Amino acid sequence: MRSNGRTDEHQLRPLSASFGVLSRADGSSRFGFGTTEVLASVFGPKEVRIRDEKIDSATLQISVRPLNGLSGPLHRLAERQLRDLIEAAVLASIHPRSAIQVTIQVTGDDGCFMSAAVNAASLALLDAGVAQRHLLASVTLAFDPNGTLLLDPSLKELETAKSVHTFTFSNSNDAVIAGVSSEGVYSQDEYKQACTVAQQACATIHSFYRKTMEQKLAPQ
Amino acid sequence: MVVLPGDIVPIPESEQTVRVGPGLRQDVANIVVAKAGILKQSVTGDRVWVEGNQRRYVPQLNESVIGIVTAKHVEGFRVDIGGAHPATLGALAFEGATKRNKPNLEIGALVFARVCLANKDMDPELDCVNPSNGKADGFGEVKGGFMFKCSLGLCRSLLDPKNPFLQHLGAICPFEMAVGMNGRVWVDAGTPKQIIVLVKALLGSEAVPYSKARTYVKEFKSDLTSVE
Repeated sequence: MRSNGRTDEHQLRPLSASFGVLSRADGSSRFGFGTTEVLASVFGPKEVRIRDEKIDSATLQISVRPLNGLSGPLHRLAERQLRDLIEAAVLASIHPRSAIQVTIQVTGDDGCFMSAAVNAASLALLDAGVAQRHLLASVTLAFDPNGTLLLDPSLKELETAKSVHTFTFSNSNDAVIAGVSSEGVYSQDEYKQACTVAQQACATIHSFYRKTMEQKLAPQ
Repeated sequence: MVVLPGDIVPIPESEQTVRVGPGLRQDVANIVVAKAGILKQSVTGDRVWVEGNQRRYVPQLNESVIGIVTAKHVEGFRVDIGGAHPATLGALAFEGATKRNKPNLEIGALVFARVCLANKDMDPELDCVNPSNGKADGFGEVKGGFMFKCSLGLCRSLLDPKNPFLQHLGAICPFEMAVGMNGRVWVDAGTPKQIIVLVKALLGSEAVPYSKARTYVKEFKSDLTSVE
């Protein structure tokens, strides 16, 4: 038995998503894996400070706010990883000399907040109507000390994990990894196993996005 | 059909050249979706687009917008239209304006104008005159009344000739309205109370289907007709 009453190692926690949760932002969303919840807001394309201005594309400004306390190097790293993923997804060249601001606020952290942040950011950009090449879906996986692969691990499971992997897949070509970050000690076979499971889980998340959007646009 | 960014749309079979509208882009031989929304196709079959809803305005040529004057200079005005860049409105871009007889707009004034230049690499430009006949055609400064902000989808539905809410509301209480495609709507009616009720009714109409317009508008009837 895992946390959240899960029975299977390759089971996601219940997914939750909602759009337009902030009244003043151009786009916003909330995404959660069980009790891990993230709020994302998007402003833009809006005016940009002269020193950040790019002549041929929009400037992406990403900030990650922690659940409590000051943001530290962990959040700078998350911002960097998010920027790399979002830069590849957003069609920034159609809005030169402007800024697209993405703010991520962690509202509940029980592991995998980075994956939740990627998913929330992708949905908030969708809500804002920012033109994108593809959507992103991300999941985190961990190998426990016995070498069992756990999908969407909780904080407790992460504490004892041998290695942790965060995979991101796009919906346009789900055979190609949009982004991956791994830490810990792991073998090549373990990596391949994690990748296959992540791919299936991301496909589930992508169909969850579609279902959520259909409910919003055509609620019959 | 609901589509999401990255989806590939089948190319419509049409004898004419297919035109790809908002929310779609061409990627090599495919039409790919860039914004979430409902995929629509014209009756003739040669136009496809995605009907979505958003709050942020991106200027498009020939759209009418409501702007706020933020600065005055010799050759014209700087106007905020809610986009990424401020727009310029030439002092001579008004009906009957000459070098000696220029309109005098104060900072903070509202103008109803047409976008006459929209290019991603240049700041947008506005005019308040129909270029073909030099007439104002309803464009220019709007005085009195009240302006509110809404989603771009609501603006589009308010400009829909089939919109039943406006007809039903207008039958109860006459009012004047200017809809900018940039998510700003200006209304004026007899009394401030009527204006407040109208704004509330219009903002709420976004979530109501056309078929329920009559019953929806009835809720506001007593407030719109009461004297005080």
